[in-house]
Amino acid sequence: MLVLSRRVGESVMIGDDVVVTVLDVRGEVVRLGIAAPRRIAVHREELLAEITRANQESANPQADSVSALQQAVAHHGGNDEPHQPGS
Amino acid sequence: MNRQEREQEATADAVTLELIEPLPGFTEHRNFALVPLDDHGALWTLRATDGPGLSFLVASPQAFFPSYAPLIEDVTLSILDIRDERDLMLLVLVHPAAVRADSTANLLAPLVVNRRTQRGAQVVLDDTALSLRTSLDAA
Repeated sequence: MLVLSRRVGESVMIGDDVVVTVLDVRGEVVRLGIAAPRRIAVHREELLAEITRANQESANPQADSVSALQQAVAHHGGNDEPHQPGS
Repeated sequence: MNRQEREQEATADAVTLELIEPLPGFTEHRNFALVPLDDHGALWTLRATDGPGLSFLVASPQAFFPSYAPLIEDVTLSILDIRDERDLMLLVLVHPAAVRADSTANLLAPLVVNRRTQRGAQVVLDDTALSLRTSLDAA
């Protein structure tokens, strides 16, 4: 990790395409402006951490839970016919 | 039909899905098979084909959440070369439980898929009303 200090109004450049600017500091809250091309996703780190955790919780589900849900769906049926991928 | 024959038949129905960005938490896996689990296209197994032992349960959100119609940003559609409605398919990761009400789907970060090119990505939507864990009974 590179550690730098910046004052309000100063910026950090990341690669060729991303600029992070300190917009203001109020008490403990630092407001950052992030200029990046739209193809680069920018997220609050804790949100990405939450998505990671949710994905990990969902990985390799228990077979009996999957079967229970399959059966529940078979009883209810689907809504409209969703399209099959590749068709 | 025995279990092995059923699995072989299911794999024959599978389509492939290539993730242009890996799933957060699973950076090693890009290539998957999407295997239907029912006759209505509601449930699928998303099984990694470039390494053993990883699969997810995914659902067509319309089957459980008929009013789920999130805004997909133009830049996402463009990156995936999704040109019209017919190309666009959404799938949500499901965390099943023994009791249906405890089973949840990730509506905040669906898989956005181009069904024509069979490529997709998990996209975090910019909607604070959506949850990572929405009960399947909460339609």
